[in-house]
Amino acid sequence: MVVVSGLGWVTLHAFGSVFRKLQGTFSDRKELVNQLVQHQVFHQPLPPLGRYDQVSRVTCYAVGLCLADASTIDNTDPAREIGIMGANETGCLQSNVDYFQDFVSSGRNLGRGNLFVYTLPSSPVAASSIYFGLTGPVFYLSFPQHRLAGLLRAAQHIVASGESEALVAVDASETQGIAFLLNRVGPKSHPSVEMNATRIIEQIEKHPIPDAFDGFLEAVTKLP
Amino acid sequence: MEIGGFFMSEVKVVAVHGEMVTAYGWGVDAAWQGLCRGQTAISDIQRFDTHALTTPFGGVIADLDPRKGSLIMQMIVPLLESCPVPIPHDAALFLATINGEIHHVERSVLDQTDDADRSRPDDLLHRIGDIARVEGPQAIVSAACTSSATAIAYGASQIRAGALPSALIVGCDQLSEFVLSGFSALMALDPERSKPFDVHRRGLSIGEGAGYLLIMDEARARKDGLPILGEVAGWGLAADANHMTGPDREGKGLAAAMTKALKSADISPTEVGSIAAHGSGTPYNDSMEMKAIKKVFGSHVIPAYSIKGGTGHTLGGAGLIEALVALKSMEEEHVPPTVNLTDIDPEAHGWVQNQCQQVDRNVTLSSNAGFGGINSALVLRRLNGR
Repeated sequence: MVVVSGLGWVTLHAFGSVFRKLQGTFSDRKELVNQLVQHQVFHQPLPPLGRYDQVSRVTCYAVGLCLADASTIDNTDPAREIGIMGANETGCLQSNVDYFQDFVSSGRNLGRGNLFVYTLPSSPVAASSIYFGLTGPVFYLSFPQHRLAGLLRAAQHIVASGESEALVAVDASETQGIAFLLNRVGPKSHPSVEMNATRIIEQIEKHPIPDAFDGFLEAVTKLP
Repeated sequence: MEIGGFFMSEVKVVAVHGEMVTAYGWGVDAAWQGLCRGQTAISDIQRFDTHALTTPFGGVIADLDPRKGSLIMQMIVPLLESCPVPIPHDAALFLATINGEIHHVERSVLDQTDDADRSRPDDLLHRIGDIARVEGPQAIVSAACTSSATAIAYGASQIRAGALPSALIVGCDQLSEFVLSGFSALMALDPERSKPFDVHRRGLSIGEGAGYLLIMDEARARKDGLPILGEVAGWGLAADANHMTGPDREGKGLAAAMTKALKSADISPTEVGSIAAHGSGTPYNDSMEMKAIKKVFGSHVIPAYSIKGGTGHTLGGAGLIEALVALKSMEEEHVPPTVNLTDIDPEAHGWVQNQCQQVDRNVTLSSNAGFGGINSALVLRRLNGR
């Protein structure tokens, strides 16, 4: 059986995780990062968030909260393979526009490589894989319909088939993100710190994001 | 059944048809013949002004005309409309691309005559679904230069598990000012034509291309009397977790992907007859790729090659295009030369050549690596062969 053993989320002014029951609010990015460091979501050195595009930042916050939320899995074990899959509605549309505007404003002579790096839909999950040392499968997989449920079903399949020991499934836009850590039931498993992935997916189908993001979170946090 | 942690089943995933367009022209055969002659299809780019960029060269498809609308659709529509085998209505559709219809972004920024929002890949996916007339699940798969190999891996995994009956994988990307300027800014382009595995290699040549691969359960293919190009026997995905633009210098992530792919196919390295390498032509990629190959294959030296000196780097389409060439190589029982190769890098000596090499096994491994340290490997097997 595949279970969800970590669940973290972030919106424009709030963040949280389910099993550690972490909740907080913030007014700006600096305050958010300070709080995440205090809660040991981020360890020193901090990720190079200033270089990230906005979707990559939100992805990194959500993934950090998700990994810190999981207590059934040792995320720091280098031999433990964790992958990461991402999805969102618009891919890297804004980063594409930002890069090309910058290139055109240079007289179409020289763009900035550090903007171009984020013009791939997979850049946010790749950036998180680098910061958190995730060496499993890394890719963007977006279903136009039932996007988050589709992503989670795909992650559930990959973990169940043994193609990755564990996977972070993250749906992140420029304003909000939610991340789930999925792994197979292991010897350290305990019902109080994990949820059946199928049950989570059923909840998500009832509360599809982003329209009902808060409603979904409320439903999920009541699950355990 | 589990073997080495992998779920295995009796289901064999087979490719029943695939076709492509590259700078060599329409069809796998056009590319195959060009590659085997050792001729490059990389040429001077006329589509936009390259004077300020670090190279004027790219793998351009001559037939495409930006004045006629989407270059992506100019590639995909003729390919799918001439597919000689019926695409099952219940097939899933996985669209693998990095930038898709990026011309909408270019035009919206340059002269505000377009809407950047139209470049969203879900819009492209929907239109391709209509052309292919498929009603199964549809999704966009994007994993840098491994995008279409990752899509094949994901589709095959679903079929092996019995979750999908068949899947149509479409891979595509176009050569654009957007992409060429970006790689130019990163100083990743060879000022001349790309020469993978050459000691004097200096970077990529960007190409363009599209292709599709229809995969399904072997039993269904045989029941429906469909031809079988080969088996998608195994796959592996792994990340370096190292750097956004540079690969792990020791090739650890790519070696892990290759090892997983062999395990997934339940075969040993000695059963593999050839390697369709990513071979992008950048100094770091080709070096790390040889290290990865040697980690996995050790002293079992087998023919390896890259097609990117011929086609250019076809980005999100590369994995699929290279898989189609790899399937062709098993049919022809030799691999093509690595085009533009003059002075073989000592690291690649014995593996890569500038002439065709005979192969004596029915299994090939195709590898890809991309931005963000993303790696993939596919094991392809010729059925009914020697």
